Amino acid sequence: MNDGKKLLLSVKNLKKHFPIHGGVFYRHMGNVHAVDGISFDVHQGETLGLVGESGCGKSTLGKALLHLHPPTGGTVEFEGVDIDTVSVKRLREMRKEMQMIFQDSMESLNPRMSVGSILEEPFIIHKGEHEFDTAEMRKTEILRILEEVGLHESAFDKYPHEFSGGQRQRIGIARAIALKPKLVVCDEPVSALDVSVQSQVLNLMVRLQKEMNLTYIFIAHNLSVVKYIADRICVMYLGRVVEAAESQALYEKPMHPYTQALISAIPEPDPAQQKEKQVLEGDVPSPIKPPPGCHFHPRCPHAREKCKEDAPELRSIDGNEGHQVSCHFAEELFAKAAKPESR
Amino acid sequence: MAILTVKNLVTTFQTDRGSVRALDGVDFTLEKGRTLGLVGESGCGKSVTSLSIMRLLPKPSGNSPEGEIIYDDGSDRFDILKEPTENLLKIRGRKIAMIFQDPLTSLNPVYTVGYQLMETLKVHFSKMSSQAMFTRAVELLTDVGIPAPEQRIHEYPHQLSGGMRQRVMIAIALACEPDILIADEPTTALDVTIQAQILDLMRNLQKKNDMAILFITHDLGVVAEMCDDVCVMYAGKVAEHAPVEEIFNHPQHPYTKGLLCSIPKLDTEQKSKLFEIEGMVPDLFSMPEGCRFQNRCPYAAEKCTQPQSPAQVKDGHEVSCIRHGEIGRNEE
Ligand SMILES: Nc1ncnc2c1ncn2[C@@H]1O[C@H](COP(=O)(O)OP(=O)(O)OP(=O)(O)O)[C@@H](O)[C@H]1O
Ligand SMILES: Nc1ncnc2c1ncn2[C@@H]1O[C@H](COP(=O)(O)OP(=O)(O)OP(=O)(O)O)[C@@H](O)[C@H]1O
Ligand code: SF4
Ligand code: SF4
Ligand SMILES: [Mg+2]
Ligand SMILES: [Mg+2]
Repeated sequence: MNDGKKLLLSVKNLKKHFPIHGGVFYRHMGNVHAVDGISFDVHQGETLGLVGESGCGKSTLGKALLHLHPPTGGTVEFEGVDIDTVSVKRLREMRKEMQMIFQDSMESLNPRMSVGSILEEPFIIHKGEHEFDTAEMRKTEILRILEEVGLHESAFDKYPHEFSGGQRQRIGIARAIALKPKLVVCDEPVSALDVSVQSQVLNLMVRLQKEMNLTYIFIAHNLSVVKYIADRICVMYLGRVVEAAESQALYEKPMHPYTQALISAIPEPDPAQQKEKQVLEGDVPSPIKPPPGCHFHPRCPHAREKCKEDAPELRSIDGNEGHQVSCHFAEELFAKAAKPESR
Repeated sequence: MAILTVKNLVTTFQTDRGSVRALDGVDFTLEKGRTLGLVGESGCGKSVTSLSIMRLLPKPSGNSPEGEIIYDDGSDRFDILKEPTENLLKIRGRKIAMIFQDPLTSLNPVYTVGYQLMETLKVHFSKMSSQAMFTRAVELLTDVGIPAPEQRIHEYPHQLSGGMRQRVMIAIALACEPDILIADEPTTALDVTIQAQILDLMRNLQKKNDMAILFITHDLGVVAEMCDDVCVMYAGKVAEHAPVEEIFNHPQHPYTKGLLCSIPKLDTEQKSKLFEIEGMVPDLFSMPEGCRFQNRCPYAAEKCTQPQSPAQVKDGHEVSCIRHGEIGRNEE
């Protein structure tokens, strides 16, 4: 299936928990199970899409992959090397290969640095690991990158606050691709962009991927965008993967009830074609005390007794290794949904 | 009835390189009980428009806007731009509330979520007991779908995910049941199932209070679903303003047409080249004479350098393109 493509990233049972403190004595009150046992492989040149509810742990997962905050458990192997075991120096070198585009561009760009210095920074941090030795060479390269991401040359001397949200996101993309990394974790890179710029940036990202053989972890909640760019998709719910499949298969045959609801809720860009939506009932459960059994059971229209007690495993369906679901009744529900009269 | 009328709004900023006109004569009306979508390229001035209405432009770079912003709810009528500063606190929150695009910068990092909610309630309901306020705050957080609200209410903004911060912002904005809600990309950070809930919530509140909504988004799917009317902006000006069906079915402005073609749809072939509007928005310092879309427009011609003024195509459908009559036909 992966045509002998090189395995770039291998994640096994990754966990990231955050302690919660509160009350008068700032006591430890529990843990947020932001990422709670996630495994997947990504091959070079591939795009893995991550979708899921706000707060389900996508950004935390993205940061844990790059060791931006150390995981609570599990392993992340980049090119066969467990990044938890390498020296600080080696980790820094590896960072050149692994970049991130952040969700909140205002948060991630230093407001006191000009765009030119923001983009020069990675070249300086990784001095000696690239060919742009002089300030002049770096400037030429930065101007080229600015143009590539659709910003004016004049951006070089400006500061982040002088840009609109969308323009700032392009600065973040420019910074991430500056050192020609292998892996880019893209945390909602186009969520702040309007559609016309979005299509430019997506075209740009696809082109860069082909030219540079980039591997993307693409976090987004616009499902049309994820489907467009991702080869495989993992659907997350409360820190776990509930379904993983090739993107085409996921949209054509969603098997998990949560995935089905997600796909049904996609807004249709046509006022004449408004469809009946399957709006999920109920509150989003707290990741501090996730519901027992299947995390999704309080909101699942098909939940039964078993779902309240036993947590379903992520497992392959119909002997298809590529399509995994974590639902006790996936086969049955899917068979039912596939019948036209039950629609 | 128009509850808000924006007339010839001009907003300038002082920058190191001189002054820039971020808004260059923006006109639109917002009807009571209806939703107006504000769409357009990043940087075209959507947020600046809403900040101008709220009188919240950053000082000292943002100058006072020129033009008129008339608020008129039938009994009370005034120009927001002429109101003395001391009246603004009463207008904000109760008459016009806003959900900001950037929840991290607009929520105060040093106060808990609950404190910020209750502060808003305090300004407008001074007689409410603190117990009642706490109950109301928990209720508001529940309404917007925050899990474990009794616990989350004691947390600080940085402890919440991006989407949850946005929901807190929505709770704060809705706290005082405003007449006008300005929502700047309110669901951009949310996944579709929660987005569907929040859009439902906004629609319900709109029905209940006859609230007018100015809805800023770049998701044309959300526009199709939520908006009655749409105002398409380009580079600080309104390019087209029409009822939502008109915008989708009979777009007149070349920019609107390009926008509609750029959306990836579920049946778009994977990693195929998406339609893009070539080029980029000119720098605010070097705007061309006449139509600001010239350098990217496939229909640009000599006369496009003339000043553009909105022309009525149909009742309620206005377009600012001097050639709209010549190019509209072929694609219907
Ligand atoms: N530094 C932190 N301390 C405590 N809790 C945290 C921290 N960072 C994240 N969390 C919690 O971990 C969970 C996952 O957060 P995360 O930001 O990864 O979600 P997300 O899927 O990226 O959501 P969104 O789509 O809203 O960006 C949330 O419940 C969040 O409140
Ligand atoms: N404080 C400021 N100082 C100088 N220029 C500014 C300032 N704030 C905004 N601008 C400029 O005003 C223009 C409009 O910005 P605005 O934030 O309204 O865009 P927007 O339409 O909301 O974009 P987005 O979709 O990216 O949020 C931009 O060109 C921006 O660079
Ligand atoms: S295991 Fe049960 S609750 Fe979970 S998704 Fe399947 S049917 Fe629904
Ligand atoms: S006025 Fe001219 S340049 Fe502007 S949109 Fe119309 S045809 Fe294009
Ligand atoms: Mg996130
Ligand atoms: Mg904005």
